[in-house]
Amino acid sequence: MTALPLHLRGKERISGTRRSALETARGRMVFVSAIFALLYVMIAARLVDLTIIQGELRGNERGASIISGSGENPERSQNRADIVDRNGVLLATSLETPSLYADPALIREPEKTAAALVEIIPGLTYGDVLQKLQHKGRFIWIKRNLTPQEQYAVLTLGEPGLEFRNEMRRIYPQGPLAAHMVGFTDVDGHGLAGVERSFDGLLNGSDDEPLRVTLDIRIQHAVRRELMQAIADFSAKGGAGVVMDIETGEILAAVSLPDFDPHDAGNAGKDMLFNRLTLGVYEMGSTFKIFSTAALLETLGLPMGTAFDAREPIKRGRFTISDFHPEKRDLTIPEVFMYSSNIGAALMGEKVGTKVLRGFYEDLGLLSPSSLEIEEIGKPLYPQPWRDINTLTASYGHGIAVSPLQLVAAAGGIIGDGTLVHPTLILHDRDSEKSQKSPEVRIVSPQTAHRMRQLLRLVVTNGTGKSADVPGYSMGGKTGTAEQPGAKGGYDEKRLISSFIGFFPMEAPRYAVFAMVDEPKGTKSSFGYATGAWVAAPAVGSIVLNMASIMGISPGSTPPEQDMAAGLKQYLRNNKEGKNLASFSSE
Amino acid sequence: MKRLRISVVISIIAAIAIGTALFRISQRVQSAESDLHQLTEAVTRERQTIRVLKAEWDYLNRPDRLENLARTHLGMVSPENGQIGSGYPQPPAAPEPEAVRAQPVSLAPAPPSVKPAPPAGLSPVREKGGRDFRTLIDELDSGKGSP
Repeated sequence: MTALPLHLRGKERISGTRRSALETARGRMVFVSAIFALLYVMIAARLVDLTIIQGELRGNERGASIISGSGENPERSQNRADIVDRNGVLLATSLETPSLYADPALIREPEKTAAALVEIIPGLTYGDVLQKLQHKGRFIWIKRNLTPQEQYAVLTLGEPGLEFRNEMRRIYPQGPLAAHMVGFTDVDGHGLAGVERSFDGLLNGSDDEPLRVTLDIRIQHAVRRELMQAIADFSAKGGAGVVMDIETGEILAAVSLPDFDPHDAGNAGKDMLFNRLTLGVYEMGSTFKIFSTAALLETLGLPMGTAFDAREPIKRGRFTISDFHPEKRDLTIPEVFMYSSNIGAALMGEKVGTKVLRGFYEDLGLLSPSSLEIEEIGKPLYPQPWRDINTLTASYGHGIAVSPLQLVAAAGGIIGDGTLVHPTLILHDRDSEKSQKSPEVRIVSPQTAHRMRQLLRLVVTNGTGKSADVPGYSMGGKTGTAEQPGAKGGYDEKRLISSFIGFFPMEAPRYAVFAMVDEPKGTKSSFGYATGAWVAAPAVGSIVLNMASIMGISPGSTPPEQDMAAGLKQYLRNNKEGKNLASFSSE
Repeated sequence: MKRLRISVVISIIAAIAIGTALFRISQRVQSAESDLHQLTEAVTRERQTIRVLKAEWDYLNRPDRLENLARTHLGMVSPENGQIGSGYPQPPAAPEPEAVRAQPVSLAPAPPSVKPAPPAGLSPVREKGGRDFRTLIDELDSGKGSP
């Protein structure tokens, strides 16, 4: 290589191997910088994408979620299942409501905020709220389950320290109508009474299927209305009513009064929360004659014409058993039942014998608590040990206390087809029921059942139950007027439990209708009487009439000579068919 | 040199083109996902609204409310005793077994009083199977007179 003069060296063209090396180097540098340029462009584009464009997309969602509160609670807890009646009408459901809480650290002027809150939300006191807003911490509930209007008003305050969280609240659209049976929950959704409590686990489970109960809300309303009327008319303390399908044991209506608003159960009085139908046990009185008479007919098979000496009250030791309106003569079995003679019933019970009668009552389920699917079940009270004198009183329904539901189920078993009835509140699928039918327990023969139906029909056609009669529906039943035990032992004749249990249609009884009134007081129009015949029987009649039109049961017409009770008329001596026996109301 | 430049240019352009296409697809997917999310939320909100409406419906259809409205605006009241009747003569109810009526006293087994087929008029109107032919014809003639 010739050395070039210095001033020409830079301008010399590079050639040969040195040239290609440089070119390669240059090419590589261009390549690499191109890649870097590309990378920077990609990063810049991604930045734009992430911040601006995504921000646009998500911006709308964020705003909405703040207001709805769901952003705070992304995982909503599973809905508690609904409770519906047999026709699908909602009895209990859970709805989302906003609950207000405060973050005290973010609240600048607690006094002003507290004052504003007290104006918006009823039920808050200024001092209480102020204390909460000054609380040390980041979270404190102010008020749970607000209405949408209240929530809107709080939002317009624009206070950043007040926020919402959605909570499920249990709503009962029917209000107090089925309050005892459906029950209620606490604020956290745990059942405290009724079906809400006994099926708490099932309702909170993953199943979203509503729980169907056997109640029919229309009939429930009819029963409640008639009972309330009776209680108001006779200034009573309370009452209970039930309508049961005695073929299946399904309870179509179950009412206990006074009742309460399940939304406000915390403020309800003890008397209102008390379930008189299932939890209360009472000496039911003459309605028990159904059981003692059935026991007599079933175990001894005596003819209907058998007479019992009811001329004089019975004296055993220091006890006297007398009739309310004594007939003072021999009475045949139908007459004992129709005039509701305590003496006659006691003699019948004596004839059956203590062991047999007690066993019969036990088989009827009167000595053990009902198996209904709620927890508010009362334990029956009966004499232990059971002596002969107890047999006498138990025959006409004293000295033994059962819940009204037990009474209805036991009577329904006898009158139905002679097999035990198990009351139930839960509607079962027809298919599953057939496959799992529990074996039927027979308590009386079909012949005895037939005779009992005749007797009950007689009570309505000729006896104390006349005011329960509904033409065309062949009603049968039994009145009951029981004095309640007095404070100092003995019985208080001013405090009565007046009841009536009815069945229809008597040729093939399908439904049992029962009404009980607690401590009714006689009025002018009832001539001072407050017995089952005056107080409860008319209510049952009205209920049946309403039931018939609700359920579309058309009436029949049976000529009097073919009536169920016609065959018993021959056993009525001194036949007083023309006289209105309801005014005697002998119990 | 020129060849290098062209290939570089082409590869740069190709890279940008592919990058853009990728970016677009990705953006479309994300946009679709966002739409799906919004729709799902809207469905949940509507479902919740339906629940609220169902509760409201059953609340407004409470029996006592309907009763008051019917009484106030339509003058309707509950039926009284005797207002519901069958209207036409019914076939007699299944007569009691002869044995029971003829001999009041009988320790011999009486024919069991099993449930007779319910008398035609006493079954709920919906159970057509329980009616007899004559009642059905009567009904059709009078244009379904039963309540």
